[in-house]
Amino acid sequence: MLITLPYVKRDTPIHRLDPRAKLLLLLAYGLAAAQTSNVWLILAGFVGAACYYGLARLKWSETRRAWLFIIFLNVILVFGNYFLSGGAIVQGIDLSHQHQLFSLPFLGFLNHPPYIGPKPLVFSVESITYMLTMGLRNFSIAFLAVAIPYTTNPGHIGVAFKQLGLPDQFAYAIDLSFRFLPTLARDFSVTLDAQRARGFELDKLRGGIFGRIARLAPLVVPIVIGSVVGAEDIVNAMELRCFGVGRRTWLTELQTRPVDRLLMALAMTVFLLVTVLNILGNFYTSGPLHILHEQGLPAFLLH
Amino acid sequence: MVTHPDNTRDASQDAPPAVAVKGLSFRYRALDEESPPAKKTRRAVPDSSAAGAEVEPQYAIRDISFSLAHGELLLIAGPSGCGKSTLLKCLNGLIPHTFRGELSGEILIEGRSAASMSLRERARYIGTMLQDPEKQIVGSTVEQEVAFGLENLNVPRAEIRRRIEAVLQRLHLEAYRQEATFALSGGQRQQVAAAGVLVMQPSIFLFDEPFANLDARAIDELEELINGLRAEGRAVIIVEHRVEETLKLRPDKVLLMRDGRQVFLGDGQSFLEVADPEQVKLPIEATLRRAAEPRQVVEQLVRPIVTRRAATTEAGTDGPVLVFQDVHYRYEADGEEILHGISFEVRRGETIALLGPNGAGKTTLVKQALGLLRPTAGAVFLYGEDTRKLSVAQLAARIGYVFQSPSAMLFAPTVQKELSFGPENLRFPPERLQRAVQRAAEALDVARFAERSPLSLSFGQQKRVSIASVLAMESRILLLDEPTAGQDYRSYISFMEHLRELPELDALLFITHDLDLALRYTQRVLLLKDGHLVADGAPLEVLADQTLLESCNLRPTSLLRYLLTEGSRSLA
Amino acid sequence: MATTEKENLREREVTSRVWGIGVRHIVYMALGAALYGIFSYFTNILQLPSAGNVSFRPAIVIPLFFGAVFGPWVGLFSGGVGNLLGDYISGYGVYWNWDVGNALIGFIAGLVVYLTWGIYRHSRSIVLAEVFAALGVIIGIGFASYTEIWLSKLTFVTATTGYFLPAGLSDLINGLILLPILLLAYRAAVARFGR
Repeated sequence: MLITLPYVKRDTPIHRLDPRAKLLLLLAYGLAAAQTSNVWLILAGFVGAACYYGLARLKWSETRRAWLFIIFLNVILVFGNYFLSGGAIVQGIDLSHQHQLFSLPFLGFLNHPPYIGPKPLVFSVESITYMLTMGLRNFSIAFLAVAIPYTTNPGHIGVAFKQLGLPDQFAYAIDLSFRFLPTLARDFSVTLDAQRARGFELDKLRGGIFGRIARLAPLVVPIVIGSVVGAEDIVNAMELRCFGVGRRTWLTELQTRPVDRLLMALAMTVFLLVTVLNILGNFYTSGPLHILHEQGLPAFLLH
Repeated sequence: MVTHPDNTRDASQDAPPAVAVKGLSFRYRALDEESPPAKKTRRAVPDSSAAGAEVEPQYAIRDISFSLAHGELLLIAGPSGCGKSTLLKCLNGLIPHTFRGELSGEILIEGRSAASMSLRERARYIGTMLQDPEKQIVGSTVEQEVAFGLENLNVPRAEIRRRIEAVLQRLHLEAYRQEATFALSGGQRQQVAAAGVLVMQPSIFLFDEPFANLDARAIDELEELINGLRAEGRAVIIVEHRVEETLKLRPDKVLLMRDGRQVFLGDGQSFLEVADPEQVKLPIEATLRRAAEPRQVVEQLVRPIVTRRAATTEAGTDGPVLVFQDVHYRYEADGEEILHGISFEVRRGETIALLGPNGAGKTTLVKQALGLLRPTAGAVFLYGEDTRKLSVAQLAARIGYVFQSPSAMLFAPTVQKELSFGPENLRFPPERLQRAVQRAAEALDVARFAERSPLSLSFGQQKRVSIASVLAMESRILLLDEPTAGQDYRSYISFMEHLRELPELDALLFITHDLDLALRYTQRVLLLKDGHLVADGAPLEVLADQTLLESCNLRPTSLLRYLLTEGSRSLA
Repeated sequence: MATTEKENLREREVTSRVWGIGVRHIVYMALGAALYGIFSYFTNILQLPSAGNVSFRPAIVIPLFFGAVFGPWVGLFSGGVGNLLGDYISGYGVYWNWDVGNALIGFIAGLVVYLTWGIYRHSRSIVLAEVFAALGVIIGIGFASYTEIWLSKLTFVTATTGYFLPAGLSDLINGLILLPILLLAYRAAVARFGR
């Protein structure tokens, strides 16, 4: 089995971005989006993230597996959350009463210990919107997150962390782990073949769940122990070439361009603005400063 | 190539030797000095008396002395365990920096005492090439790898770039600059590893068993590199038990070690007169010169293995045991074809060497027989049965495949359990299982450590356990991938002699690039090149074709040359 | 005089054994992270992921093992960077709370080195490693699961049934079964090199 890294070499604005800018954007956006469930704000974020993702010009065929997983997981979680909360929970939003559309008996789930069991599943304008908002939030984050592995040269990740202030040694360990990946992937397939040649069948392991996990030992032990023992030589090789004796130079140097700095500044501003608004919203019960605490539904939907 | 003027020999006439070693001895620190704190405190008081009672560890090397001038080549030879790798560690500074112990004697590097040097200082003088370039290479790309040492020394970026440029040019590697190191061939990998050392401009180069696992072209390139280093005035030290290869480089000095002591120091010619051909692999001429009866020696050397079962049943009376019928293979439907229509038959009683350079498709070929890979066209028949209808596990019961590295498969808590793993997977009934395991253990002489962990055994023992655990599945055909890789000459020979005694096999196949192994132990050679079967016949017949060998990147050995001239002489 | 000096030295040695970082630690960090990444990747592509599936996730034993043998920093790095790497090579992206959670797993599992020095000759030390591993999994997966309540607005029940229980249980079972197997194998391999 060979391992192919997701990085697709291409020349797009997102590929050219400094990895630090991409990471900061993801983090700042995620932390900002967690502070509101205002459907308009999240929708704006979603559109922005989708445009960003579009700029990376990634093809469906390249990203298919990742997206299938993300869609699957999010559908399960968002719908699951709806059922488990009986459609009643709308967090972080000030609501006086919900506008119920209809309800399905016994499909919801009540969990107010000691009362646990089925209860009617309520569908209201607010709860449905809230569910959609959740989906939009998760997918907007996914757009920013998925773009990173496909547009970032793995050779730039160690140095990105180094320039973010991580000590030399740790940052180099990140580079080194990328170096180990293809070797370990090869070891993995060699060991799998060697054990198959001894009648080992991964898809036909015997025993219950515990027994089957223990029967993974023929695969796990040689790979792990073999590489740990072999690492002694790598330690020697690195020491002989003076690793760890002092400050080191990095041949690759990331340089931020104005657009990177702009993006980072923007991300930070959005995050700070949202945080301030969130705090202020606790003191103002209405008006523009309360916007993060409202769902922002237009009045006509509520009739 | 740019070098510091003070690191090269033309500095002055009476410059000190590159390396001088005087009365060097070393023993490793006693084991078991480290145990968890709980235990430590419990025996805090009687600690000193207990330590006194402990057995003093043996000296790993004892009283070694030599000196080497700039531009000279020293070969350090000896069987494994003779202390040659310890000596290497003393020179490059891993002793005492990483490995602790008791060091006495003196090492002078460029006239300076090494004892006072840090690892960093030493790296300015000494560059080390480890045995396995795969382990030495820490960069993901060629450029990163070459830059590594200079980055660690905090050399400015512009200077690093300049020096990388020079080294890549010097070794003709410019085209590979952005290449992933993982995808390189064995020979290229060695060159890249050398570039990573050379860029630090050491005046002394150490090579630890550089000839292991290289094909002919890679060996040529390596020789060129080593000669180039000498011409530049660098001192080169090679640690190797394949004396034959190294002697071609005409070393100025040879140091022979045994049991940690130096038993010989002198020039290459007198070395051949004292060296023991049982301990290190010498050119055949040297072996014969010292034998009373050359013909007898050759007969002793060249004795193809005949499988036992064949000896008892009439050979050739029944059909072939393994048939490859026009086998084609490609990894992906639209990928490049790796095997281009390979056909051959294996008959009962045969011992076959599957020869070919690295990347010829040898491993891909044998995997077809086990179903680990399935032919994209053509078929493989095992005892007349089409393998396409059988699962890997079913095939494993008929044909055993031992992978090159035992550490890729050993996992069980005891050797006994390791041997039972295969038969259990094949659902042997308890009685048969016990019998099969016992037989396999006895055949490979591993019954002695049945209750020990296979992971705690030596490499040679592990190798035998790995074969026993395949043999325990009672398959009658055995495939061995590079059976002698990683073993020194002495254990290589004793290992091969062991295979002679294996019971009840129909056929034995070696996958190898070692010509001598094919010549001495097999009856037939299959020569593979670029996915084509280019020759099939008796070893000496196939290997007599010089141009064929050259095109397959195989390098004639002294034994082959001798046998060929002998043959033509007897014909005349 | 001599004894106190020796004790001081020993104390310092304990501290450096647990917290010190040398070249060897850096290599093991990288190796642990790469192994965790590879194993996660292969379990990701070998089977369909599903929430609520107590599945094969042998990968989790990697940060537990590297922590227990080489200490908390190596555990932290193997877990955190390893999870990052696994998500990265699978193309899933970067999800920081899970990276931090996995880093916690390795870190806490690695604290056992305080008691065992990373040497596992007796069943007592192996049991200790198991206890710390279990603690690590519960705290680490707990952190990652429950930060989702705030980050993606799940309810406590969803975070528990959708993330904490399936991931936590699967990691606990896989980790606790495989960890002793690896520790014993490592002990045997170390015996070979006499270190």
